[in-house]
Amino acid sequence: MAAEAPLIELRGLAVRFPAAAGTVTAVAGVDLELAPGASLGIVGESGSGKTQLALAMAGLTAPGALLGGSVRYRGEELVGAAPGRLRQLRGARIGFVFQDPQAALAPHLTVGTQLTEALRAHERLPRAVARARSLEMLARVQVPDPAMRLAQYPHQLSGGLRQRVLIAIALMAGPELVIADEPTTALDVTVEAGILALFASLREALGMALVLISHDLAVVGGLCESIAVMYAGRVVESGATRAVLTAPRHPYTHALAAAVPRLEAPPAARLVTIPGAPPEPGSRAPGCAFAPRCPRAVARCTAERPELVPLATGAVACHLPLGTGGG
Amino acid sequence: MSAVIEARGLAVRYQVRGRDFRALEAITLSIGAGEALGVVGESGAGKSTLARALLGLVAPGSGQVLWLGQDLATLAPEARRRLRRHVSVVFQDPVASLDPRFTVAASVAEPLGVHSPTLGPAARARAVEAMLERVGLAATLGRRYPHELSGGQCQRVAIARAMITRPQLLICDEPLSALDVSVQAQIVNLLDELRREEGTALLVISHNLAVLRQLCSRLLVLYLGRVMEEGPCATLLARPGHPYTRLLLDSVPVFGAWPRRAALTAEEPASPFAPPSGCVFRNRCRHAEDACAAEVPSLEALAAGQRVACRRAAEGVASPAGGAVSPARR
Repeated sequence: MAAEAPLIELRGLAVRFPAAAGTVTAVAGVDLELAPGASLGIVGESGSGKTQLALAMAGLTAPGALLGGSVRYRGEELVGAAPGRLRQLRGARIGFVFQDPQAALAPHLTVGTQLTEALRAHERLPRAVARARSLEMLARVQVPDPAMRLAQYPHQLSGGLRQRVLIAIALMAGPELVIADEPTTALDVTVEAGILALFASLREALGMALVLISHDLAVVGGLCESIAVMYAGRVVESGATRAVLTAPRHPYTHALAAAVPRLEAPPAARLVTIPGAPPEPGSRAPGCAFAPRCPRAVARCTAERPELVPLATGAVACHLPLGTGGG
Repeated sequence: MSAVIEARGLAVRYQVRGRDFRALEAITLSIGAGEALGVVGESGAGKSTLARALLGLVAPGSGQVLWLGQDLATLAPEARRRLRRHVSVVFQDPVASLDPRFTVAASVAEPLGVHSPTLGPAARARAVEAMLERVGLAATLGRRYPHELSGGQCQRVAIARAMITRPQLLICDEPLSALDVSVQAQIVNLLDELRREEGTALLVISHNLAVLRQLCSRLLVLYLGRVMEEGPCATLLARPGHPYTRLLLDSVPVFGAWPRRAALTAEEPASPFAPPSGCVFRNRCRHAEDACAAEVPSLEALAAGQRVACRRAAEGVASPAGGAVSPARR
């Protein structure tokens, strides 16, 4: 494929929250882009800024949040765009799937109403047509007995079915981009496997681009062609999934991959640990945020923040990336 | 070998809006000194009810719970209090399980006030400091309050509080699920260390098979309140006998492997209020036959130490070659 114009392009995106003492920075200058139909996994722990980043990509902000930098969707700037225009884009072009399907569905509206609401907000459609599309979409996300489900309320559905309904809502208007924020975290492993398989088959069938946010490298690695690893509000490593998972360049990515026990690997006598804990959001040290926990850190790491530098297969923000001399 | 804790034919039933809810049925288990048993299952399997019943926090509808060989139901309150120091618990949410108004040191010391009331203040403070250090916290942290600590630190405090009475058994109910990925490994290593070095037996409840393999020598697979399979962890993970264990195994995301192994069952668990007749898993099982609906399968020996509640276990239905849900994992 020749250099295609990106579907979405982030340049220096920052999300800050006003606080008693100055501002707290949740996302501190992120550059990312995604081609139409591509898939990107964003991995990070709590407080890494991944959710705020996901929201900003859909032109959404948490209450009080201040956006900086730029988010361009097919070249159109979303930061500072009129709320009406953002609403138009969301739903019509960008679908969002939230983490907690219980909280994201309105408890007093039927599944059918919530599905068609999404549709009727963006296109003027006769009721019967909207209903037919809802049925089709529920079937597409593999909800058994869709006609019965249309008349039900969220509390009558299991967690897995609720998440399928949320995905159906996000897909109703045929978006080009779906952003899913920890869509399986609230679910059992067996149900999670089904939802992830659904995302994979939907992408194949509908060709939409996908941004998947997760704390789980394995979840993201199974579904996305590329990965961005976030730590303390910044992308510390990005690249093709296979490269990032099999030969991580950033010590944090490496430690994260090693710290998670995996069934397919032989059992270890002792798990590799990352000492300490992630920094509090808002704490601002001059150097690399991971330096206090990093076994490779040298004086320069605490003095000077490393920039995200392009590599052959991706990019890394580290003064001493793994796989270079002495790595 | 005498068991630290035992359950014999344990059943717990709740009445929910007039409907009978069988949270646990016919649970028999035993944990020896210094041993670690893992309990795995989906939400609604009865994992937390099992923890509560073993702690004596819910009364069994039938069956017995024995602490150090003594039946909880027949113990006098005073004797029960004396034994309680030997059975401790660590809950899922470390922040919620600590009193926000107590300093760390006060929280850790509190069980000593109940179980060792004769201990003087200086001796108590020394014991608390030693325990904080034992779980990898600086003794100076004792002056802090829970809100000043990270989730991982709070979980270490909760473990210190549970361990201060030198219990013979530590029950851990999803001890990692509230923690960040990078911190989980620290707590796994700490629990394993306490078992090996202090001889504390563990009962670890988790939905994460890889974590259970790391910590436990034996595994109990729970589904809708019943034991589907139990036995040595290594055996169950390498050669599961129950199709449900196979389903759990195949659901675990594998690093860099996609698309996931073929078709997973789309069916979700049956309602615990109206479990299927016979085998409760049969509505999700692709190996189910008419006979599976007729009677509840009993736990039968399959391999050394492995017992499986499936009529067709001996046919190898849960083995990858048996045409189960997936092609082989290595």
